[in-house]
Amino acid sequence: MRESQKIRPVREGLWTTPLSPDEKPRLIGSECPACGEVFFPKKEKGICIRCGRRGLKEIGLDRRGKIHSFSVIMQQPTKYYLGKTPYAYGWIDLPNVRVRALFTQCDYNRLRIGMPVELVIEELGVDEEGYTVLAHKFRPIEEEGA
Amino acid sequence: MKSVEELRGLRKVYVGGLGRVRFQRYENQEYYDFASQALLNCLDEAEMEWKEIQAAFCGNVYAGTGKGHQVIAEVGLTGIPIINMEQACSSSSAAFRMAYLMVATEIYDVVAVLGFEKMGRGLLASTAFKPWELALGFNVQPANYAQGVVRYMETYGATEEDLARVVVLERKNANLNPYARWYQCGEVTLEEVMNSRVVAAPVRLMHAAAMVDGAVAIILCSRDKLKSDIARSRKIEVAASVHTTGIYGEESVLFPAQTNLVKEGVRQAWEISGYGPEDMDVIQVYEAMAPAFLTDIEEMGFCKPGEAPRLLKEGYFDINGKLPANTDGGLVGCGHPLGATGARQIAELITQLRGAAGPRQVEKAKIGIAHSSGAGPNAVFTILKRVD
Repeated sequence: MRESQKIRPVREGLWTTPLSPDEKPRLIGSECPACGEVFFPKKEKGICIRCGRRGLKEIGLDRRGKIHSFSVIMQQPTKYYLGKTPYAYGWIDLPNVRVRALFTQCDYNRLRIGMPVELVIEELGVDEEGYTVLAHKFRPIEEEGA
Repeated sequence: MKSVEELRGLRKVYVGGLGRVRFQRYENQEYYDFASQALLNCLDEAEMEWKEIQAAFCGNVYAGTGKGHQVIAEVGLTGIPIINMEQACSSSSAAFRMAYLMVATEIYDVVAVLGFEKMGRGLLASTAFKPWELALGFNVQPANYAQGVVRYMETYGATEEDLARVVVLERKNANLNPYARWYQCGEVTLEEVMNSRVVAAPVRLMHAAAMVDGAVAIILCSRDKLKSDIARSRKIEVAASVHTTGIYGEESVLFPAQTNLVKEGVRQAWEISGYGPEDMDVIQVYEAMAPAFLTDIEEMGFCKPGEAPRLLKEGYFDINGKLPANTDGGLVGCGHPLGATGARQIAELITQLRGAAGPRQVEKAKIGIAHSSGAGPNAVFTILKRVD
């Protein structure tokens, strides 16, 4: 990407920005110090909506998980959508938390429940102010040991 | 908070009148034009004047400020409290519940319920999603239904044909319902449904409820206020009215909940009414997309998980079947004007229990339940029974 290009995330605070080339971005969640429940996106008010405890702490979530559900969307949703059509999104089960995200780098017809996926940060589209907008997405990966 | 026993001991509440307009596009009318017509139809049917109504609860999603007031201003200005309620697709069933509670607790004796909607043209951006979620395209209702459908198909081996069969049933019923979008539009085949365009796999265009305008009005009252012959000779009593919202844990990996708002809501409805699924003669379930017909029937406990497709195929949910469901065509057959849908489901129960459903009449229907869902999430359950 060119130096002059204007870039921004679809929303601040969804994922970490790597500080070195070896590091990879992680989604940012909240963990409850009392009951252990994990939330994504992080709870801005810091309250556990499961047990009511205040003072949740921010954590980096696992980068890999499995597809819980999915759908392939064949028609443009509203004008607010910044990506291309068709596209696919669904729920991904990370070890401690279920997150909703777009799928990428795959043949949508091959998406399956239980398929292993990993996080990537990728371009979503360009917004009306000319910013290239980045989004968190998941791409299928080879099963470990397969 | 009142106990179940105390709730059962509240004053009995009856249907005093019912009025509606057909669900269709009203291109040259504003919402207050056709909604006030439904209200007038209701007053005429009830043989009442507006001045007899002591309060009004109005369900609507998209119309603006003072919407119920605008509708009622076409009919009368009597200074009564008019309450506008937005509970997404369950707006008017939630309004029905508030009206029921007002009469049951003896605050008022005669209360009107209105449900109405003029739908926008083209795709609507739901405000139930945050701006960044809209940017990511997460607000596609068929796709959000599809998330559950793919899991249902994988878990129970349900097929595309099973999903299409719901549409065939509902369009068949709607074909007999003069208030439905698809009235006298003919029946459809499995092949037609299965060949319709994919919107969000596996949800197809013909699975989706049509966007139409519409309005329904219902009067609830105490027994002594019933006026019309039909309301007095075929008394319809509210046996339970329950409203639930989201319960933590549906999407939790670490602490998945054993219940949800539908299971909990219907449990409360059975408990308060003293009835169970086996007592129902007719049911109205919620399916803005046809596949939800199957899962809603299962979640409400009318059969075991995964059994609904087989029962549907065997004719169990047909008008002359063992448990007639969505006898007016449901959302898929009637169309879905958001704020009117909850009251429309209740209107069909009233019509069936009065024995006034004509060619789609369920024989000897004495008791029934309606469930409506709405973004939020909301779930509203209404049990009505005939008590001559």
